[in-house]
Amino acid sequence: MNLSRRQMLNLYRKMITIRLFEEKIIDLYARGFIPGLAHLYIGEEAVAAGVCANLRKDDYITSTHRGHGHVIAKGAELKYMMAELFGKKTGYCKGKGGSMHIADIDIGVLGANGIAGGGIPIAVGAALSSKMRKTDQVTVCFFGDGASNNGVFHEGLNFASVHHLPVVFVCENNLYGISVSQKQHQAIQDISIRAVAYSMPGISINGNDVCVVYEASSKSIQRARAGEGPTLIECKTYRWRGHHEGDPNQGKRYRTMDEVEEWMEKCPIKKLEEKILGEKVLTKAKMNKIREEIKIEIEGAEKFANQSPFPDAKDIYEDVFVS
Amino acid sequence: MRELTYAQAINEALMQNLERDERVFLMGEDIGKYGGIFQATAGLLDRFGSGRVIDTPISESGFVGAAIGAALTGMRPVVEIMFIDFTTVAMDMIVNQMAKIHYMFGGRGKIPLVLRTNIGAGRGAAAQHSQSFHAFFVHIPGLKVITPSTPYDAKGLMNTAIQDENPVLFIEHKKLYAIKGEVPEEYYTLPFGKAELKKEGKDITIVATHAMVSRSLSVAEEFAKEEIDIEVVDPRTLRPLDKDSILRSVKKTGRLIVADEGPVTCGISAEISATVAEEAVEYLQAPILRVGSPDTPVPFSPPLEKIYIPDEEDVREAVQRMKAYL
Amino acid sequence: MKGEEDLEVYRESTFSDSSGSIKAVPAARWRARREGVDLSLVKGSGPDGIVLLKDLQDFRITKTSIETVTQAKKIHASSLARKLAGKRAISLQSIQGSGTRGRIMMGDVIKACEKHTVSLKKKGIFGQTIPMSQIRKVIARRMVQSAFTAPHIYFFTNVRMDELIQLRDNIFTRYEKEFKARISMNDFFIKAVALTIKEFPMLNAMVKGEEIYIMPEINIGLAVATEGGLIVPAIPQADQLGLEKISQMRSDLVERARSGKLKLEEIERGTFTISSLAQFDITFFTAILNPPQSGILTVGKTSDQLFLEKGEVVAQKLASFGLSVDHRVVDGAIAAAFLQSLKNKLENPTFAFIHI
Repeated sequence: MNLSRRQMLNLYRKMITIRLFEEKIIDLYARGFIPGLAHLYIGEEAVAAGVCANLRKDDYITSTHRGHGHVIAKGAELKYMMAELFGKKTGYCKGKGGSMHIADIDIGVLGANGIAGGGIPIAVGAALSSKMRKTDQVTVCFFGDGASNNGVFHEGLNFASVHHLPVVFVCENNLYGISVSQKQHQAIQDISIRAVAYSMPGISINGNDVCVVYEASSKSIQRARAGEGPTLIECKTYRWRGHHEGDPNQGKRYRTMDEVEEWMEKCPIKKLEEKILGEKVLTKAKMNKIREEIKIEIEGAEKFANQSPFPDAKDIYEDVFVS
Repeated sequence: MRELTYAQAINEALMQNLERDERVFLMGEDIGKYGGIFQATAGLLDRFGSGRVIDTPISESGFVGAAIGAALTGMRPVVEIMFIDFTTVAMDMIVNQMAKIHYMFGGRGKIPLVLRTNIGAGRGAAAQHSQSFHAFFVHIPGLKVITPSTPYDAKGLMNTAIQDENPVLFIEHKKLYAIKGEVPEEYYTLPFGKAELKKEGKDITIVATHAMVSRSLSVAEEFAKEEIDIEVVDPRTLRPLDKDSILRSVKKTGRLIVADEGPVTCGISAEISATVAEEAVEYLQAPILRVGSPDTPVPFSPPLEKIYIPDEEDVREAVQRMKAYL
Repeated sequence: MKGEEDLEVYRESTFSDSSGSIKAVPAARWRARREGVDLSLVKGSGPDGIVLLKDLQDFRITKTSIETVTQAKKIHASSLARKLAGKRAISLQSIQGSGTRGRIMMGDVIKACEKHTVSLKKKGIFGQTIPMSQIRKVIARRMVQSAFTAPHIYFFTNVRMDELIQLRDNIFTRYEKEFKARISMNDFFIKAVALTIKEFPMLNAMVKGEEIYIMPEINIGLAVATEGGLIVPAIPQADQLGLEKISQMRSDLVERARSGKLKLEEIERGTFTISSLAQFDITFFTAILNPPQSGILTVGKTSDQLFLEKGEVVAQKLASFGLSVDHRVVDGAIAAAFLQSLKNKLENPTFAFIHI
């Protein structure tokens, strides 16, 4: 598939934004500005960027505990994300959710989710809803290789297929469910073959080639929008850092540095940069300029988060129920 | 006024809501063609079609989650779980998703969903189909828990539940489905957090839920002959709980019995007892007594099941004990 | 001895802080605390003797507390020792007896007095903390309960005692010979009060919740100072008894009060109390009602006084009598009238006691 200049630039911007944002989080987390947990998306940027580039604002996504990438790709504003990570009142969730529960229904983000596979049935429900309301909204459901073994994966795919729902299941197979490698947690290698069991098309692709991701997801999303039912896309990718910030030596307990380095060679951003330079879409200087712009935006977000207040004590009781 | 059964009252509520609001739809196992295991959804598939009355696969987590997703994106699902025992299969969806999304998302996104299920032993359905652990759900902030005891209450409360913007657990009772009562034909609502004084009295208060209400009323009639005047308070909703009505009653009588069908330990009665002990201790003229199920799984054999179920006998025993404090 | 140990423990538990070991339902405990009632004195009718709200409303003094008050540990002492101990206000309980079987002799009391004074001089009484004996604790509690539950009002009058004293002197010797009893001024007081109560029944009443119960019999109690504390045995139906009977009963009750041999019922039956300090140089004094009674009469010392009568200076023997009543039950006018009528009887004894 040939991407237009604009498409490539947009993808590039998105991936850089995700990368730089996550790198900023490494620093802020280490310096104690971010309480709780942070699960970083570095290395997987092509999946979120490639898929979400095909979505409209009113399409839905459900995300995972490792959701910053998806949420940024779907159009979230960095400063509200940052504030939420800091636990500030001005964050997307008023500081009540944190990294794993960032949500913005207005841009179709039905939440990152702390439970593995937790978003799968919810995504199915959103697809059911748009079918009932007869809109052509599509739902994309992100989940990992770990979640593909959970009951809800099977229940969700089954329900989506029997009811012919407009949902695209995107499995980010980064070869590990926390510390347990794929070889140890499932007998299959290509998760996409499970699609057969649920009577839907399934494909496995190189999750680190954003153009490939873009093309595959474009087709599936169009299918869904046309009312032709669900698809399962497996994106093979890899996370550079540990499962969470604080995972000793970036996962050294369960994987080798050689393996990490091998995958870092296949950096999705590097791959796109090469393509952009190669096809003379941008000069190096222009690419650096984009980086600088984004850096400034991120610094602005950091400042915003720093200057924002924490919630008041009484806010603890707010929003338990809709009154 | 015409009489309907509890099941028919619920059926009518569902029907009237399906009619007036196109966002409402039903999901559950065997609710369509079969009409629901207790016939609460009988006839609705024929009337509204499979687009709005969905027979689901056996995937509680899956379809409860789907209900959540649908609610989050503008629909108003009423999802049934066949027996409360099966809610355990969907616990993550109920406890970690449904109850928390509105809060975790800082107030953005709401889940206007009703989850219907039922409790109660007495049909020989044994340990995995007869439990009454609705207390679990009262324990989780973010869920509303409704416990109607009559057909009239059931219809009114169901209408309110479907209108509510929050996830509502609508707890029905197996043994109440067949009882009859007067039910208005028109659409009407009953408020959450408002108990009903099913019988006024001045000597002893019984706070009772579900089938314990009618059991307590019949025991009250017996004791009226001994000139012991028992007051029966039906909370109707456990979260929100009408604390004021309960406290007002205890302040009047000074003697409290709480009767709920769940196991006594850490049950609804424990919560109500603690609340009264905390907020009205100086009015207590007797210890607070709890009537409920024993701390065992539900046995199958009929004589054992009979012992298991807290019935008139158990309420009577509690009142007898209370007599020493009159 | 084991029995006594048990009694001690039992007493200890009954007299512990009223919010501790006394079982009561919360509502009763709250009410008792609010009204200053000692729960240890209330008989519980609930399971295991737990005090219910209605028990508080039918307040009754429990058997145990009275029994413990009256059956002060039986102390063996000679009568001389007792007299001296009483005079010196020393508790016999604290004295080691040197007589047979530990009997306390007068010498022991003298020694104790000396030791006490020496030890006091050594340490100095000021600044000392003396623990209350069990009986004193009970008395203290009942005093508090009465003082803070019943609103007291006080009335005083001077009574001309000449005629009564004359009467007593005239009949004393013959009375003793015939009836084997020594008539005392108190006997006249008892009879006179009983007759006056017949005219003023409210002085024989008690408060029961929001009702006033007028007790069926007129049983006049006489306050007796014992080494344990103040005990008030009562002469039953004093209005119907002749003076002879009154003297005999009075004499017997006082003796048994002093030796700790009274029955509970003999105390409990009292409906009105007379308290006399006539043997001391006390002009007049106020008394706290003996719960649940509504009236108490105090008697001060009789002394020769000069006063005016029809413009002339006369010498008379006057005694100050005081009356304390529970204002919830007895209004001022009634109390005044009662006292006036009593005074009349005492000043005109021949006429008054024609009723015999």
